[in-house]
Amino acid sequence: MFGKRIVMSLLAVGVTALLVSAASFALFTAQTANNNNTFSAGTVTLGAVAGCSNTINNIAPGDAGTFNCTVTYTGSLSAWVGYTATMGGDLTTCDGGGRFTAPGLNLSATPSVLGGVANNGDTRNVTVNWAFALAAGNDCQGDSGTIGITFHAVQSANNTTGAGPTSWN
Amino acid sequence: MNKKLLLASSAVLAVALGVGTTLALFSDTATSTNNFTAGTLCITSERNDGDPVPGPMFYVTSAQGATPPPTSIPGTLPTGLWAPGDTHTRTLTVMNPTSCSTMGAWLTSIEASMHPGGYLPMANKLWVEIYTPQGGGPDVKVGEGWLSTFLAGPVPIQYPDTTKIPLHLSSNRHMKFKVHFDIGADNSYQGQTLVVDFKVNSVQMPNNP
Repeated sequence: MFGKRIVMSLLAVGVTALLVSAASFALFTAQTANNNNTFSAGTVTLGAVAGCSNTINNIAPGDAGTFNCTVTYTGSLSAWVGYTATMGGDLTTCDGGGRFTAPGLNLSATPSVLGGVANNGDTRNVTVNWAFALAAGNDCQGDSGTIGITFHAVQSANNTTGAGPTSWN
Repeated sequence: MNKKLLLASSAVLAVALGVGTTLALFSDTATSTNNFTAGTLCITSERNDGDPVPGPMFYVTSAQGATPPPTSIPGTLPTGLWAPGDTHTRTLTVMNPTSCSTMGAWLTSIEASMHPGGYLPMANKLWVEIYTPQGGGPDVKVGEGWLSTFLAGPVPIQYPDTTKIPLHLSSNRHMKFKVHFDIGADNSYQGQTLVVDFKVNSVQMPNNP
């Protein structure tokens, strides 16, 4: 009987404590909202390269030519557009090398800036002047060479020196 | 025996007469009714950078920032599309109007909720800082975190000296939201969108120092 009273007392104390505890958190509160905040990231994209898939066969020492590579900037953000070029194949190394050339092309790993900041719909062009030296010997007969053009684009916002981007990646 | 019975009856009669006398006294009552009405706490808010209200603080196009129909007044401060490294600051004025509130408030936290279909990872690249004046002084930072943290639940706000931020009855407070798009956001974030609601929480000031 005595034990039952103790249990009942403890229960009463516990319930009271819970009520007091609940009361401590019963402050009035209110909330206000500002809805529909939209954050949309823009895009930096390039369209397909035009005029730059040429196959020129049977060139002879002394031949030279020109073609234009054009790209359209299709992103929604303003961007810097640049290019890098590569040359490869036996034709670049035959006869001691230097017989098949593309003077003025940027062959470094760092893109060359093409014009100012580009916006959607703007185009950029690279003119490729190639030459097969008249001095090329028989070592070059039947050899092939390639000239690759890669366009690069990078956001101009928060990434500009005034004349180009601070970083290309 | 009869004499005893007579005496007893007399006594009973005397008591009955006595009670009857008591009920016949003049009397009166005066009642005073005490009414208790619990107060209310409500806070409201509007964007406040010169834009028409109501409307969102952050929007990409003027159309997105327009007031609701039928007014549909275009927003005047679109952020434009966000590029990594971009930062934009907008102001939310929080009010404690007597039209619906009867007590002062402490501003305690800010949270956010995301609309369905948004690109949740973008919330990990948007850093949010909250500023408000302390006393009569300049703005001070009272809270910060990735937007994803605000989406996860209330982010506590307080002055740098850890004191509470008051919003007295019939007053207002400018809360500046500064949002920065992490320069480290890679191409996977291109073209992605996130729409959120910002919510400011408060608690009663009376009896709650």
